[in-house]
Amino acid sequence: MAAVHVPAVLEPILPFVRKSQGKKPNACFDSYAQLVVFAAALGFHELDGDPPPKNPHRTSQIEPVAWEYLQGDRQQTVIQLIGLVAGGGTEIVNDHDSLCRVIEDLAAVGGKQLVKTLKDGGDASFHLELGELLINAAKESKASAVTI
Amino acid sequence: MLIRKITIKNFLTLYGEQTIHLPAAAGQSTAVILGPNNSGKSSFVKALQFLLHQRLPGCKEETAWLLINNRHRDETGVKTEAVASVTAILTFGDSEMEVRRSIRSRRTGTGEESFSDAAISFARLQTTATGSRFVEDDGTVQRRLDILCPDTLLEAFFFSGEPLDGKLLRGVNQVRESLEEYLSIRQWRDAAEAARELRAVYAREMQQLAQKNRELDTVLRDEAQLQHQIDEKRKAKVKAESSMSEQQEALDQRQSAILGIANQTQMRTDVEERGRLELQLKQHEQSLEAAKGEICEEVGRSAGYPFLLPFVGRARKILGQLHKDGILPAELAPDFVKRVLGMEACICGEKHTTKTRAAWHKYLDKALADDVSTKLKTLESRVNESAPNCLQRNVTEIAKLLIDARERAEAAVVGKHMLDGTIEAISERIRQSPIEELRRLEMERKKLAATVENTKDAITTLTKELNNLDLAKKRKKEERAKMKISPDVERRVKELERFQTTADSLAELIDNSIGALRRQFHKNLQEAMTDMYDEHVTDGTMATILTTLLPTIMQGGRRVMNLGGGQSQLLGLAYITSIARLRNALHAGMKGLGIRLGVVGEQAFVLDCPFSGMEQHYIEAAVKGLCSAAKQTVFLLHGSQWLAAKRLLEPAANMAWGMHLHAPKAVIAKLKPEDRTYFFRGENVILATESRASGEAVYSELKPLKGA
Repeated sequence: MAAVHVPAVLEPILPFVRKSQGKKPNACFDSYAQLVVFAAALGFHELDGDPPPKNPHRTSQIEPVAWEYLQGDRQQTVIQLIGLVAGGGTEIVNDHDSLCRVIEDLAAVGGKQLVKTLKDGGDASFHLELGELLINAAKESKASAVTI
Repeated sequence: MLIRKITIKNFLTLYGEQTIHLPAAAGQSTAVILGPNNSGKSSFVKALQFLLHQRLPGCKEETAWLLINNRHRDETGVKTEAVASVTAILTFGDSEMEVRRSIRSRRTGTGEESFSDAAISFARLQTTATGSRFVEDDGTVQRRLDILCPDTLLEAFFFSGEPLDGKLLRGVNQVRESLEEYLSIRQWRDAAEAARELRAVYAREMQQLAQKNRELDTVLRDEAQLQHQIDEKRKAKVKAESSMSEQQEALDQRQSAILGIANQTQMRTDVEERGRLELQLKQHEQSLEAAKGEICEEVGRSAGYPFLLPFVGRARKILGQLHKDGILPAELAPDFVKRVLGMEACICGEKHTTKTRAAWHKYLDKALADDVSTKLKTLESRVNESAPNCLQRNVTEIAKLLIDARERAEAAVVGKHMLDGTIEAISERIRQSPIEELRRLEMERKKLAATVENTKDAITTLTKELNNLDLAKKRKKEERAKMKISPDVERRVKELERFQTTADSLAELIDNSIGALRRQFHKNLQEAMTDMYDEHVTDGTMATILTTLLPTIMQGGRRVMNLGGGQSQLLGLAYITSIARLRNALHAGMKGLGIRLGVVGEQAFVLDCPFSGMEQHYIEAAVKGLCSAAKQTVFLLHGSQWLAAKRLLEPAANMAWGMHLHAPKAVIAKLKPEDRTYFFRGENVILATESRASGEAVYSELKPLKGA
């Protein structure tokens, strides 16, 4: 069964998942799946679509996120788009295991950015900083069809 | 304890033997003794204190000769004795006794200080068939006087003019202890303890009897254990009831203070304004929290969509290529292709050839799994700008929502900051106002109300537990009644049991009565203070008894923190007459319960210039209150105080005496006219006379006033 292993670099961000023990009051993510996909999207953005380096470090704090937990509409859009663009065709998207590896490698890249954001802004304003990252990404992109 | 007659002989400024009779009969209560400054009014009070408790600063044997009047000392020859004494007939209810305390000192030379150590003696007049004589007290009379007029309250009953703060009101604990002593509560406790000890003695004897009968022994032991538990619970209940009484009282006080303050509307506007602003602040806080919550929610829900925008074009191109390659739309599933290849014939019905097999294999290599095909179709619609649910539109919605929430959060922070400042300023104003006191009182009231409820529950539980224990004890007794024991033992056990029950009832009665009387004491004290103070004072203040049993003054529902001299003095006078009056009622109550602590009778008050620093209306209130409340009051007044109190005191006085001062011309010249000549019931009385011989010592004499 395919599963995404959560990169160890995301450990400082785990308290921002609502189901985690010792969760922060401004926890943003409903599940570890939501966090991993968010981090992967950010990592993909960071690398500008380039292939991510292999991430050997996986956290032992939580179980890997099974493929069946990554079936949300938006999550699948992100995963399929990444798989399609990263593979330049259907090679990756057609293989769940490969797709999971790409997602976790990208999540490791995005995770570094998230940890930096957390360190710079502090726990209390982490959600605001993430909001800013999203707003900026939306504003910067020329591909945005609708004016914000 | 009233004073029917007092004889003062050569004591301090009072020269020779001065005897006065005081009003102690029914319908008579007030006496006035008028005299100039330094004529010996204080000596009169000190004489009483000396008689009752030998309680004067110079009362050690080696210096006590200083209490003997100067003139008498001058007249005492070498090797003869100078003698001073105070003798009084004291009445308690229907009985009376005559006591005397004397100082004797022998003159050893001609100098002023040539007196030997004085001998102080205390004696009681004893009447026998052969006559009457004073007999040295063996301590019995002194003990009785200590109970009748405790040393700690002495200054309250026989006091000199200054405000009472430093005397009666000097310490809560001291006052409470004095009052407990005055009310004999300690003796009650001793009686209850003695009853319990007696019961224990009986229990021990029963135990000894039971040793011969093991079965009886067990039952008795169980009974003793139950009794012990009952005692403990009973004590706890008494304590809880007493504590609840105090809590209830404190609660009532808060309630009353709250009502008083609530009527002061000065700060109400501020409070309303602060309430309105606090509501706004709360709305801002809620708005801020809501905005933050929305941001959190949207961040998680976004799945990082905005980060993917730069790759939408590339994804579209790849998907286009897949269409060109015939991979999309995926019409045949790989499983289907595999099944076709496994069959002998192709789907067209013809047998498979190398060419058809190669074509099917080529298709199989590119075919997409079912779910992937579906997902890529969905992805196609997401990257299609014209689709209603496209990724770009989603990103725009996400960004708009985030921006909107961020703006609301920022607005809330700004609004909150501005309100914080305004609210703080208003709060500061309120802190300076009684409203804040009201808030504090309200909080205290709520806490106290909760405490009272808890104590009530505790009492209910204790009562239930006590009932259960009583029932258990009764069953044990029944069990014992069924046992076969020898008639002698049985008879003695029954006898002891009866003793135990009596001792137990007495202890219980006392425990309950102390609690009840304490509560009654407070209630009656408040009533008496209301009669004495509130009824006679016209400045709108009211006397209130605190939980600590100390009196205080309330004005407009608030406690007056700094009492004026007049208020303090009047409060003290009202308080001490109230407790004295109350004592009789309480002792009557004790008598009704079968506890006799001796007759206490009414209490005399001897007040030396009690109106110092008092305004006219307070003086009149004090005179009215004292004359109506006290059974016996002796006012010792100099000229100006007499003038201030004369209007009410002159008609009220049942007896009047003048303290006639004999002093050198220089001393007399310093007196004010009203201190020399007194106007009493139509007569001018001169109470200051120049000494006949030069160098003669200052002394005074007591003489009845004409018209008294």
